[in-house]
Amino acid sequence: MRNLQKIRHKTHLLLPLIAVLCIGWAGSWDELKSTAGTVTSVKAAFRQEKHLKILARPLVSEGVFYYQAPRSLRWEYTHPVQSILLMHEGSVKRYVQTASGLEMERSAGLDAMQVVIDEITRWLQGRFDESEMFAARLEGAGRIVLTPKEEGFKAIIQWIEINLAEKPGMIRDVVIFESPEAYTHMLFSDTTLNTPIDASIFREVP
Amino acid sequence: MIHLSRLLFLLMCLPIACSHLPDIQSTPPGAAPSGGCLTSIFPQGDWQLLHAIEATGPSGGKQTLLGLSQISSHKRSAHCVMMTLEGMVLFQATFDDGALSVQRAVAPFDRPGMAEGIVEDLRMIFFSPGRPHIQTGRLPDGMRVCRYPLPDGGTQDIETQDQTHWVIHRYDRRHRLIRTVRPVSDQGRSEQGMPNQILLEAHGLVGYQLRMSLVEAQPLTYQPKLKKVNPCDSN
Repeated sequence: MRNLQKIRHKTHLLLPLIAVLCIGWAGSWDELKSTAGTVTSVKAAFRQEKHLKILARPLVSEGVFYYQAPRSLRWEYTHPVQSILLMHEGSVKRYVQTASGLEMERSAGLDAMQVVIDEITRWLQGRFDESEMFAARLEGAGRIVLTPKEEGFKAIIQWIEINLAEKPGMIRDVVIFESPEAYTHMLFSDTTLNTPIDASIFREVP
Repeated sequence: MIHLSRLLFLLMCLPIACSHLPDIQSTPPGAAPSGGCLTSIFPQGDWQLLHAIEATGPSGGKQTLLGLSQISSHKRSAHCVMMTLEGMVLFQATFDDGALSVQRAVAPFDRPGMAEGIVEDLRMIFFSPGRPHIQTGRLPDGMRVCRYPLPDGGTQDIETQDQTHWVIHRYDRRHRLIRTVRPVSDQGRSEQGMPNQILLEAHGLVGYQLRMSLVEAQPLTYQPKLKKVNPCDSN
């Protein structure tokens, strides 16, 4: 049971990043769900800035992601360490750059990623308020604030802010707060919605 | 049956009884280094280092993390942060010449003894032993070696061929090999003179391996580049 909890916590660590896939601009949950329902695919570049009190300037990572409804995802870092997370047809794989090239990584946390997929699916449908893990609050100016429901999870992430872009279906940026002094800021660019994505993107590397 | 149990007992004791430190052939008088032995293989000054750390556990499972270290050789202090590739902080701690302060430890880094273990590994990789050596010379394979006593009764050997070929062996108080650290020589060195890849092996039943690939090295103050000299010949 304790192991199961640990695995759930491990998978929780990926959830905030995947929250960025959530679609839609809206003034209410109903509007958000309505807009989200029209999105079938997402492709975007991202820049991730890690802010810590000890850092004079943030650590920067860059990458791209692809999403295809209902349950296919590719989350790829291109800098500074290449890594690719693939989720497709119930399979979850992670590849990481090593001295001998991209290698598939095996860890217990990946086996439990189906939990994450279910959560993603809810979010992609704009059903933030139905999340099992986060309490969602829709604020003005297209901002959604997610707060973990479990106390144990709050020790890892205090809250998440998602800022929707003006264009329906797009996210401007996401900030994940581990503490007021330690947070991850993700900014998105070159976002395209509802364009066909070849299935091999979710199955193969690079 | 009694004989069998005695045999098993003897077999269990055998590794302990057989453990001994490698023999050192003393360097002839006048040729031996007298002090400051081998410190140039460790980063000198204040640095911020970012490593991709490929951790391999006893069962062969692998996980890659990002390790951020701010180290100061003269203060013998460090601030270390272990993150997932997605940037979530799993472990954050500061140590200052023996005093450890853990700011954050998420599973599995919250296990008893884990923080102390991480810090010990980092000290072994980034800092000279910080005490005088007790013996110098050559090993049977020709490597130059400096031997240091450790506060816990263990021993640390720093063995060098040249600036790019060296290995650190750490032994426990029973002289069993518990850690090996070495640069992966075919991965070369950074422009700051640091190994692009370092391999740490923890030996034993629950052994593990850390392959640390240097992503970024930033001086926190002005730093001279590492000199390409043989440390044992420095005196």
